[in-house]
Amino acid sequence: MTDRVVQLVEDILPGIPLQVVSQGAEAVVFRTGVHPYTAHPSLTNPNQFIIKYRPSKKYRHPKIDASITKSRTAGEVKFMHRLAKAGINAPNVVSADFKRGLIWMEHLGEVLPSGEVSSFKNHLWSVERTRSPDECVSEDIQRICEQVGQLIGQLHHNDMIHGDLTSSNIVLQKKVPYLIDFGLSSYSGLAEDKAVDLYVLERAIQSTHSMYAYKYNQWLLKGYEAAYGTNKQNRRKYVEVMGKLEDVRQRGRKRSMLG
Amino acid sequence: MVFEKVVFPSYPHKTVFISVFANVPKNVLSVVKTKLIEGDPNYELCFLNTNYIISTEYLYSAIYKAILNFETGQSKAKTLNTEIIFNLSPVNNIMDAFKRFGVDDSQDQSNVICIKVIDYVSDGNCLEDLNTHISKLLHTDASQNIPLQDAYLFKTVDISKFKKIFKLNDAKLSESENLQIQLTRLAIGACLIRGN
Repeated sequence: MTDRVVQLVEDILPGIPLQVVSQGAEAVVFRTGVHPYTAHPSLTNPNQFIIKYRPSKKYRHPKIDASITKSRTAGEVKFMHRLAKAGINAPNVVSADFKRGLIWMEHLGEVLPSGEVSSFKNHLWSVERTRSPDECVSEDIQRICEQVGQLIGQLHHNDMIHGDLTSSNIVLQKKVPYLIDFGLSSYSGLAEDKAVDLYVLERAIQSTHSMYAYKYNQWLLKGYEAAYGTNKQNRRKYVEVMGKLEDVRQRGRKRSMLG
Repeated sequence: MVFEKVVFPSYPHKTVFISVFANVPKNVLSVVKTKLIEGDPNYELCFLNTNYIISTEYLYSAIYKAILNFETGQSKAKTLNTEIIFNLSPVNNIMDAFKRFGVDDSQDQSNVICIKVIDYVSDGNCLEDLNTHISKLLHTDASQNIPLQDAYLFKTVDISKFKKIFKLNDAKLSESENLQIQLTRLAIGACLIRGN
């Protein structure tokens, strides 16, 4: 699968050096040192960029395939533009080619001593692996967790849903969290959808950081609450989401027993 | 003779020529406009005003996207020169893009950016000739031919008008970060999602 995709993308982008970063069901993410149109981009990291590529799927009808690739790529760029407008930490878009399913974006994060990308997950894991239990629940970790919660609170406050919140879809740059991967994102003002988004993260934390999940989740929700502020109307929205979160915890992510 | 020569890594066989001329008088610009509408072959260039060109990065982004659209059959305009103007605009209307980004003869004088995408250039001479040709068309002297620089571009943009046409009045801008950079990022995003 990956070989075919690499071949495809090399045909589309001849002469651009590419390194596979990760592969999902729908897209492959590459890292490159080449900026498409300027040698001095106004980005924090001016030397590395991310290319997200949605290859065509052979099992889909070519016409449907083309339209799905185009609309999903455009949708993701639109979501990222709205995030930028709302001042929510996420990668900046550099360029996009909707028809061919390409998005060039800012490269976030650093390389950890372990050689891995500084995602929230890898950061927590490296602390859990190398430090004492006390340090795993240090003030530094608490601050990061709260900032992540606050970031998600900001997102939901703008009626935007990430759709795939996990600790690996949050990248830390200089220990400040940024959201990444908006392939499953959507827009909704419903408390239900926001609660499901939070629930997905809560479960992800429980399974990837089980030792300290209770503390982490507590801090995440604390930051989430802070994002809503003290305004009465916003408080009500927050309370509504928390009520729904309790419901979702009882029954799971799906609303009906079907599907 | 001041001009820029840009080659994009994805299109090594295309050379982008950019030059800037300051304070070109109204009557000259009116002639340019008429000639462009007539389709005079001497005027086969992309002429822009600098009123909304927030930075070089934003300009490059639009040129790159225009070439990409032309190469991959996604272009909406008939010529590459028009496609560049269209890709600078956040609004999905070519006439509107012309009005905002094309030659501006509504004021006594205006700055002009000239762009031409050439299919492969081995030496710099033909670009020099091109620049001479343009300065003749615009009746400018050497002092008016200025370098393409971010600081200068930013100075010529009316920020409140800029925010209005890019629909950025509700955008949350950070006080601690550079305004030109923030507006560049948002403008590039707004142009990319145009019409989608």
